[in-house]
Amino acid sequence: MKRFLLVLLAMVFMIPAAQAVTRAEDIATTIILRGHACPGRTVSNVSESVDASGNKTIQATCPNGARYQVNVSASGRVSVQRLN
Amino acid sequence: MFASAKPEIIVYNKPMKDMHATGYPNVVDIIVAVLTCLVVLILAFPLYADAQGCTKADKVEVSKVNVPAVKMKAAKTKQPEKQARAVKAEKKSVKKVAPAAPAVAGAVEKIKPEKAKEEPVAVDMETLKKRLKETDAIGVFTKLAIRSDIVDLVDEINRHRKQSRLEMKMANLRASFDGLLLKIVALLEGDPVLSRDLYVSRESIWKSLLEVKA
Repeated sequence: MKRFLLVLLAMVFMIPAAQAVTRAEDIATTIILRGHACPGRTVSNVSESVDASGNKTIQATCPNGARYQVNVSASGRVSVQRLN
Repeated sequence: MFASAKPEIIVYNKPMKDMHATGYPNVVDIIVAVLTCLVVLILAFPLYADAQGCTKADKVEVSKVNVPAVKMKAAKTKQPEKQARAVKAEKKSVKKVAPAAPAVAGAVEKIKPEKAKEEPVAVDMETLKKRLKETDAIGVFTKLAIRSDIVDLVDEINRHRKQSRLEMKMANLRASFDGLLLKIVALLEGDPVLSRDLYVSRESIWKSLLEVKA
C-alpha cells in the first residue's frame, strides 16, 4: 500500500516536470513550425555553432532521418532548411 | 487435498500476519490514496477544459436557428405544391439526419456577432507578452519562431496600410492572424492558463495589432 502511494506521489511530482520542454523538443517544434516534417517531435545529433556576427546555426536530425539546419539570425529571425 | 479444507494446516508468514493484524483497513491510507488520485486527475484533466468547448446552449441555439433558415429558403424558391411538399419532406429528413450547410452558415453568422458582443475582455497586452516570454511550455527557438511570424504579420499589416489597401486584405490578414494564434495556443499545451487567456483575448490582440503603426 505504501509503495503504491509512493508511486502515485512520484507521478504527481513528475507531471509538472514533464511539461517543461527539452532542447530537442524545442528544435523539433521550430522545424515543424516552419512547415517541415519531423515526426516524434524530437531530434537527435544536435550540433550548434555561432559565427562572428551572432548568427546561430543548429543542425539536427529528426527520427525519420531528415537532417535540418535551423538558422537564427542576430536579430532573432528563424529559418529552417533541409540538408538531405 | 485443498488447504482450505483443513484450515489448521495453513501457516501464515510474517507479512501475512501483519496484514491480518487489524481486521479493518487503515482509514488514513485510504484517504491519502483518494486525495492523491484526485490530485493526479485534476492535474491531468484541468477543470477549465470544459469551458473552452462548445456548450450545450450553443448547440441548442444552432438547431433553433436552422428551422427559420430552411423555411425562408423554401419560401423564396416559390415552387409548385408538389415540389414544396418534396422540399418539406426533405426538410424533415435533413432536420433528423444532419443540419443543412446554408442553415449552419446562417446560424454561425447570427452567433458570431453575439459572441463578439460577449467578448469584451479586458486584457493587459504587456502582461500577456511577458507571460508568453516567460512560459516554460515552449522553448527559446519556438518563441523566436513565433516572434518572427508575429513581426511578419505586423509588417504585412503596415505595408497594406501604407498602400491604403488594408480593407481589401483584411480578411486574408485576419485568417493569417487566426492561424498564428491557433498555432500558439496549440503549442502552449503545457501552460493551459496562458493558452486560454490568449484565445479568449484574441479580439483584443487583433485590435491592438491593427492599432500598431510603423
